[in-house]
Amino acid sequence: MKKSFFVLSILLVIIVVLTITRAVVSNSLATSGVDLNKLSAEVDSYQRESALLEEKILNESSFTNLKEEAGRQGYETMSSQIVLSAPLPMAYNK
Amino acid sequence: MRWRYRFVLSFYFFCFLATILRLAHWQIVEADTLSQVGESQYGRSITLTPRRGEIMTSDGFPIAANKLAYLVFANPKEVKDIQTVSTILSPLLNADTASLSSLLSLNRFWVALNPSVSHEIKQQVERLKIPGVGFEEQYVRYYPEASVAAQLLGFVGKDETGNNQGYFGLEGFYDRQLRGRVARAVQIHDALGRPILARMDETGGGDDGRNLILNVDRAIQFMADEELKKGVEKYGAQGGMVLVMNPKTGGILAIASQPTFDPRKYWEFEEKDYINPSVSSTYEPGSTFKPLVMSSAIDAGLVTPKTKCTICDGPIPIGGYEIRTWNDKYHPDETMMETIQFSDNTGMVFVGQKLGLKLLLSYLNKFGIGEMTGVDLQGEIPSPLRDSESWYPIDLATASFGQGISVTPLQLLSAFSAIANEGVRMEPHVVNKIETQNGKVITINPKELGRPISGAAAKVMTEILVNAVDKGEAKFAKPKGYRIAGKTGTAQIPIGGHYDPNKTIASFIGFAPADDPKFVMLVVIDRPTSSIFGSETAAPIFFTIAKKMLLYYGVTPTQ
Repeated sequence: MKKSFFVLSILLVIIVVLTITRAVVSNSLATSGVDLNKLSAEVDSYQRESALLEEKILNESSFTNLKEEAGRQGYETMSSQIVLSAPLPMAYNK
Repeated sequence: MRWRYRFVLSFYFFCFLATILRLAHWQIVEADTLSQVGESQYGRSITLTPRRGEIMTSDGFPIAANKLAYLVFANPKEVKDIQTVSTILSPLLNADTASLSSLLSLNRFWVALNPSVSHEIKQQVERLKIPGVGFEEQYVRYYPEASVAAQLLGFVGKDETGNNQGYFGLEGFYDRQLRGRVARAVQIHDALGRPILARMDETGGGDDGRNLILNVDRAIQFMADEELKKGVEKYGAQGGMVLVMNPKTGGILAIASQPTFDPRKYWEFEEKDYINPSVSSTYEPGSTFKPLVMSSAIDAGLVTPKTKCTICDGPIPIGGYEIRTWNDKYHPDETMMETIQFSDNTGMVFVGQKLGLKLLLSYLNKFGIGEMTGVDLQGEIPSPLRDSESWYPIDLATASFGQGISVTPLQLLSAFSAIANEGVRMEPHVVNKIETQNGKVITINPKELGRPISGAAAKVMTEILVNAVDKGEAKFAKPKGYRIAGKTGTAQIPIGGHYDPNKTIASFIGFAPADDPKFVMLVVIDRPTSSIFGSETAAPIFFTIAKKMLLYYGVTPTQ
């Protein structure tokens, strides 16, 4: 009698604990969708900003744009080069 | 008493067993059915459109990228004052009021007002807070360098089902690699539309497109485009091309064409503008073909640079025709070195007769003339040689100086590059590497196509070409201090069975520095009007680009 009462009590305690655990977990999961939405929106926003900045960088660093900008700032095409050191000859004439 | 206890215990046991069995039935046996019912009520199927791969030049700059754009749509049933809304939106969406008005009058829940607007325009429309107007975010193809390398790149249009598809050039050839794979996903939402599960089931695997890293050098491409445009305008030509290649690897460094188009607004141009003439059109190369014939004869041991031409004292009659020089000047006993220097057609006829038809065709075959180069660009056309049985003596004579034979510009450049690369011909290739989204890199290694001539013959031909540049008709345009090997070309254009004396294809082909070539380049000017000669049109363009490239490569003058 005492043994069976003990077993029943253990089972009851397990049921109660599991029920409470389920309630707690379900409760915390219920609001995860809201957080997920917020995170998703934030990620989208950063991706959008990154795409816009990337487009701006490509525009600014394109040679087409750099040439126009260089012209506006007064740069000119170099017409000749200055050579500071020429390659050494293989042999000299005496 | 004991039996009552056992009875109650058994009762509870069977209750639990029944519950477990029932749970197992709903969670295991009926799992799929219940899942589908749930998805249909609360699930939302999402199509994950893959991002198209970028096309980057050798320095990693994306010349074909993706930018954020918005599709502007409206629900006509929510738009109250159609006329006012159309008038307000018309300047922002770059559409006339009547078109917008007719779209908003349709008996539908969804109409597209503009397929692609920028972020700034989207923000301006958003600020107006017009009920019923919404936006769909998407990525569209974008070319930061505008028309530079337009025919090389191609463009992205739509296929029959409205999906993105690449056409022409690299966008067309590598479309499957660039487009990626669409994925579908299902997300579960609550009654308020918020996701209630963190996991998203992908029912169809997807991948973003792969990136292409080219052999093309952005600086060289830009220089080539710029100088070609200036040259075509200066010489009053119908068009032109510049092709630049690394002879040691076959890597294409630049391909520029005029007229060109803007791939960002390809619909405003005609289809003929999309075609890359470097691979999709043929022409008679004229004197730029002579180095191939001469080097063949040198390789076969039939002539040397000092061999004297015994038939060069006047016009040569063949088969009822007369072969003349371009300026009607003749040099009796000229050497082979002088034949190229003077660009003497009669000297080349002498070489052609030495080779004979069979040997000439054999060498041309080894040089790849008449075959596709295998370049990775959409639209390459073959230009097969006629069967040897259909050749007459006059055909052998004219072929020896590049008339009566058709090649694509890339075919000629690829063949000529063997002279620059010690006799070895490499397969031309635009793409150097393909990069997957998870970082794996597939390198496309240089491929040797064959050795049409020996290294020794290539060296000898190089010296002949250096002499041609130093002492030929283009010597005044040559930049000082550098050894450049090259040949001018002034080819008459066949029209209606005869050659037009006033219209030519002017060209120049060469490589530099002659002793260790960094590049081989072909410049073709189509029907220049200020002068018909290659030495006065194509050669100056070649030398201007060559000088800039030698500076760019840091090559110091050696003379």
